[in-house]
Amino acid sequence: MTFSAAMEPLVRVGTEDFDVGAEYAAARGRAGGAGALVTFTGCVRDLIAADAAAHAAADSADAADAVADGGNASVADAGSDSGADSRADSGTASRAASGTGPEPHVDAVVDAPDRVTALELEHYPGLTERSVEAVAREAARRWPLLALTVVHRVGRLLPGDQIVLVVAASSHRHAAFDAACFVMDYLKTRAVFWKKELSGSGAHWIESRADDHRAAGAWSDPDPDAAGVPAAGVPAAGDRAPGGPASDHR
Amino acid sequence: MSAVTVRYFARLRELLGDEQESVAVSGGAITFVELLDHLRSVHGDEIADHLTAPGVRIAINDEIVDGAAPALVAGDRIAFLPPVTGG
Repeated sequence: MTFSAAMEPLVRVGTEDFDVGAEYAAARGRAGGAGALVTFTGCVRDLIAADAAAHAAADSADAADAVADGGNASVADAGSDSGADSRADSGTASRAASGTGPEPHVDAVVDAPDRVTALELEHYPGLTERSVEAVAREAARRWPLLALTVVHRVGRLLPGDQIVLVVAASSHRHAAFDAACFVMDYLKTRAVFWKKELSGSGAHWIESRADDHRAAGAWSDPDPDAAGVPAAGVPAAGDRAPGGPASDHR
Repeated sequence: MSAVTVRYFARLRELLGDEQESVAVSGGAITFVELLDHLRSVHGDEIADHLTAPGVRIAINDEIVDGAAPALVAGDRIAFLPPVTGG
């Protein structure tokens, strides 16, 4: 908990797109010689999330497989899950990853009824920024970060567009990975954004799922008295529940 | 002129058909319950039920309020926030 004094997270919320390379370079500069930098980028998926959670229950096995893949991809670098939107059909997780490419693959989810045509992100100016800053500061409190950048877009976005960026820098990779993952999990349930998914069949508001809350809950301090205890670079193992945060970001 | 501003976001904004409205307060203050009663009388039970549904949070003067909402005084802003989805 003494880490935050040394490092002020950089948080930005706005309509403009971001340049991952530029943000990475800036964070690397602020971190001054950090041994590890992790970047996560979430992008808009092209498959509709609508109530997929219900359907996904049936094919959860397939979904889980797909997610595992998507998760790994995102950890590697610019994955996408952004889960944001999506639902359990994590199948879409891998899709999001390819969504930035020229030709999204559509093999994993064959019964998707519809395509997302746009995503509208609404926010509460002022309060939203503070909610993201609170998440970032909490990450800085828990891990010995040398730099942390969180950029979240709002407004109307199209499939493949970037939504959210997290850059975490630390002396050790575990701290950087975990902090980035933590920020994403907490953004889902604590940051004040609302997503409306538009598709050929209409529009609907997306609300956080039980999975999102489980993922965020998995990061709870194992022992309130031990807040900030994670020793240099190594968060307590108990910071993560058995099985870890749900599927989609890892 | 003595009024509080009520703001609605996302799904609630669409439901109400407006992003904000002004509610007059007599005597300079209004409790949260009185405000809800007023909104129920104006917008009907269905909408009022959405405003008090599980997961809906309240922000007063741009700060989220956990627990019981305090009384509002003229000039205050209160907002109804449906469940969020960031990230």
